[in-house]
Amino acid sequence: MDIKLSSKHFNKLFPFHILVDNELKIKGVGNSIGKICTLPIDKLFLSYFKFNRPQILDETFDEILLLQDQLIIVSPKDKPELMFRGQIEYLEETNSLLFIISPWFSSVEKLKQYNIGLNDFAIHDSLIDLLHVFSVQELSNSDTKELLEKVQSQKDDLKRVSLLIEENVNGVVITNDKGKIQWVNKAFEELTGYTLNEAKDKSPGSLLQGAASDPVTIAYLNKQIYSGQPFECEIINYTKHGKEYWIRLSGQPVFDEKGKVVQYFAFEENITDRKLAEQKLEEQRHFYEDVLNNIPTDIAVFDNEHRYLFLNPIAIRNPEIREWMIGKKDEDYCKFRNRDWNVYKERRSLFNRILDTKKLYTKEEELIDPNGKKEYFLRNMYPVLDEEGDVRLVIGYGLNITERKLIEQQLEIKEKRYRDLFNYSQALICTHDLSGKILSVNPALCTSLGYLEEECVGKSLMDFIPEKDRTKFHSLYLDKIIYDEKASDVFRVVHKKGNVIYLLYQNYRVQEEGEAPYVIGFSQDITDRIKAEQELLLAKQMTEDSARAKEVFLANMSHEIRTPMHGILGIAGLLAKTELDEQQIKYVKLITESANNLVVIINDILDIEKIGSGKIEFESLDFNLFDKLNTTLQSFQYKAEEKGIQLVLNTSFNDSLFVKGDPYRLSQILNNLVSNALKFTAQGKITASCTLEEKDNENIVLHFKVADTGIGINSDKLSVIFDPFVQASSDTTRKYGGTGLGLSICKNLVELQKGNISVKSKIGKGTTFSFSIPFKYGKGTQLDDENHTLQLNMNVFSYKRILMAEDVVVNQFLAKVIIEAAGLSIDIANNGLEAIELLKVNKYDLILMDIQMPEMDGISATKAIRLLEDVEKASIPIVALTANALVGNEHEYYEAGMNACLTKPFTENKLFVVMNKLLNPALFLLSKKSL
Amino acid sequence: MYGIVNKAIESLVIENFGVDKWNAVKKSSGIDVDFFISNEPYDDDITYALASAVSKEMNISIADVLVTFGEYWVLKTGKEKYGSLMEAGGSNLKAFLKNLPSFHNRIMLMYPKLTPPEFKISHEEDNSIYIHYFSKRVGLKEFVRGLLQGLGKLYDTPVVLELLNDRDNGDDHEIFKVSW
Repeated sequence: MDIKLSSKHFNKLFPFHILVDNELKIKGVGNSIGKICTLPIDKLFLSYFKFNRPQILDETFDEILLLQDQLIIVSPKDKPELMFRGQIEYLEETNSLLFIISPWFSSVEKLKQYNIGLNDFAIHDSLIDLLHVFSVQELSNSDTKELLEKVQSQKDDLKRVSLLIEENVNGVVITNDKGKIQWVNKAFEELTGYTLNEAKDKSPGSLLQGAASDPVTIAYLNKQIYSGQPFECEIINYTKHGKEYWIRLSGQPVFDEKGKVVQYFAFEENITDRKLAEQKLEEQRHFYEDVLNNIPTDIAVFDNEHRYLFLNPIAIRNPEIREWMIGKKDEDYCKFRNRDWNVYKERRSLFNRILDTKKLYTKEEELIDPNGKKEYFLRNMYPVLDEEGDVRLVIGYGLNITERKLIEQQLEIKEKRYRDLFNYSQALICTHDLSGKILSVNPALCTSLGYLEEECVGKSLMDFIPEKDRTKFHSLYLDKIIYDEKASDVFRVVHKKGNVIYLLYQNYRVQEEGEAPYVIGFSQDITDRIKAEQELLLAKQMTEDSARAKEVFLANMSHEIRTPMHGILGIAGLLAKTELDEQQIKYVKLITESANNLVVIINDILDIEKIGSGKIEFESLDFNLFDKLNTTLQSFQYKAEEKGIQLVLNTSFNDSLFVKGDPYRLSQILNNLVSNALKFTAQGKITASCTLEEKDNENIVLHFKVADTGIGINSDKLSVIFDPFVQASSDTTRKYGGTGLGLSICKNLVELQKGNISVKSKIGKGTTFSFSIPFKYGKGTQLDDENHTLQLNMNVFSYKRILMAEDVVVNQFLAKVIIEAAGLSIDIANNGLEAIELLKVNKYDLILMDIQMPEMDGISATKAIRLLEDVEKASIPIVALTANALVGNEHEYYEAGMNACLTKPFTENKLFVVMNKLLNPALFLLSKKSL
Repeated sequence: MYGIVNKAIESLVIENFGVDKWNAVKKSSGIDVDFFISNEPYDDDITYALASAVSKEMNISIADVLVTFGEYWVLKTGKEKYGSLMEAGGSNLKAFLKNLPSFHNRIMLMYPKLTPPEFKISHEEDNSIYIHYFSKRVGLKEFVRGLLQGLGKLYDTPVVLELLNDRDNGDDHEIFKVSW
């Protein structure tokens, strides 16, 4: 049965068909294809379409006809991307070609692009379903992509978690619900030494725990695990090789949806290092606590809320209370100990102050125990700040400073004493630095200088000394004190009023450790003393001048008396040699005695003066003791006999004993004593004796005694008998004459020779003077003296020519008479100058040279003579003739070149003895020294 | 039910209430499926359980859940996943509704394991049409209501729905009169 379709039906079934005639002209199109492209009727099909597949070589009807039975794909030329698929059917009846085609879309979206809908397709067209499938396909792709992303994301998460566990530095253990290990991570393997395989199905406890694992902790773990509770603890475990280590174990059960434990999961953190560090820290804590507990000071540490964190045993002795206190506050303590609430308030207020100021607070506390003993504490509280500068801790400690405090108090007292000493001392005290700048002055010094303290301190010492002393201030004072460390002298200082005062100072350079050196000076105002000294000096000068004047006066007086006395005695001597009657002889004798008495008086006065001025000198000559005693007594023999008194020398020494000393002074003493004895003895006898007192190899002490049977001395006068100008009674002077100087001179002469003198007396019975003088043994040379007159070799005087220099006419005369009588010739010169002139022109054998002469004195003349060119004349012997009897002058004469010295008045005999020596060359040379 | 339905529920919950809520819904429903494969058939129980869980979690009636889901399915899932297809299905509400039967029939071809509901139309008027809903599943008529409301919104054509037949009332299928 043929199927005949109307155009309408055909169009419904194939809405995209195109009918083309044998000229390839379009003859009909379906309803839907017109929506996609414009296909005008009778236009050439190939003008609007082209074949995609199969390709055609000739665009002819026949060529296209051959494409029957093939799938063709054509595209509109204006929409080359759009393809239609279908087939070609040849319609014989109309010799035409029917293109049964339908558009091919790869997605539903294309429909919209070509502005067609599902209804434009034939219902049977499977393209709709195909498009639907595409859509589902896309959905699937999208799903797949989404799924992959999700899987990837989950995989990443899983990987992260897995890594987290696998690579965790802590050991991770997963056990099953029975507690048997199912999985461990690498860290566990490294930590324990067990591999997963070794650990699998074992219980962690049996595997890892050992002897040192705390049983309490193990029990805790078991309890938690069996009750399905999480657990956390620190426990000692052991590695596979038995090494001990600490872990921090934290774990938990893992439940399924029904709350049943399916596994356990645990972390094992190796805390061995931390434990060791903690252990070390604990040891350190113990160490520091030991230190703090044993420091002899109470220590309390508070947190910033005033809670006690630490107390040492000094702070709280009772260990239980100490422990109780930790975490407590002072208020708790005060309540607990029932203490005064003010203690808490005070401490709290102090604490708050430290919190506010963040500064150390220090105070000293004085505590008095029940026995009244004081103790002192230094209380310190200081904050310890954190990094933000907030108070983290407050540390308080109290130090028993009683000892220090007592020392301080002592020091304070001492310092006050020193200060008082400084302030009230009458010594002038100051300190200054090494440049002389004044650092301190004491009130006494201020008073002395007239300045206030502030006017002195800071100034230089130089400012206070007179300007002319300043140039040497450095060299004489500062340099000395710096290098010698002390200096003492006198400063001249100017008082504020301008007057100069003298300060005797004794200054020292001192230095305290760590301080700059300085000078402490002590001085005293010696202005008055200096002035007194100056006055004394003046007075001394005056005294000395006066003494000198006295001496000069005495010398002059002596000279002036001796000179005429020399004349009187000389002339009296001459007179006695003349023919005289008995009366005249008596008168001449009286003249001579009176003159001699006067000479003794003068000599006594001079001796006393010499003794008083310390100018007396003693000879040191060898002499024969016996001879000396004998001659001395002999000179009184005549007078004794005259008075009918026996004069006896009583000594065991013979003439072999020579001693060394001053024979003249010995004579003088004996003369004085014997002369006194003669004077005060009317009858009986006078005994002079000399005995040995003591001796050794070099020294001999001789004891002399002069005893008389005279009137005696009142016992009350005995003690003053040796004082100058004292006589036994006031009548004595009247009755017996004398100056009262003799015994005083004796005493001085004895004592100056290191001897002693004494007296014993009985009124009416007599007096005994005793004295001792030490001598040295002397050599046995016989000393010449005036007693050897008889031995004078008068031959020596023959033809000798004497030159005498003398200005006093009487003396000229006297000398001339005596010398010429002895057979010598004499020339007289009136002064030294004349003497020199005469010597130059004449030949003399000896010169008698007066000392005091006008024109040229004897000393100058002698010096000039000794310088004469004529050697013989220059060496002529010169004898000094002087009325100047003061000791010391003789040295001057000898130094001037004189050879001997005779003091006026001298006797004829004395003169001849001296001249004899000097004119006899042998004797002169022999005894030159002894003269 | 194919996975795409469950996915749509998941998407609806996550979009409006967040992942946590979705996890809560999943947990509440007892469905332990991380990923729904769109073209893979799942047990209908899963879809029901999810819808019940949403109802429970959100404290709204299951009917409201289904209506909401129906609308969401059209406006969101349909538009996103089958946008062009749906657009090609009709240029206005009426054209689309008229294609609804063919559309579902073709789906049956594409998803051989699915037993899609069957729609028929009748009483075609200018401003209304009868939609006959045949399904072997029970309790999804509110989903259909949501779908129809969603279509009205998709074509910007407010609709009034009237349930004329209801299996709950002993009828053999549901008839919705859609008026606009």
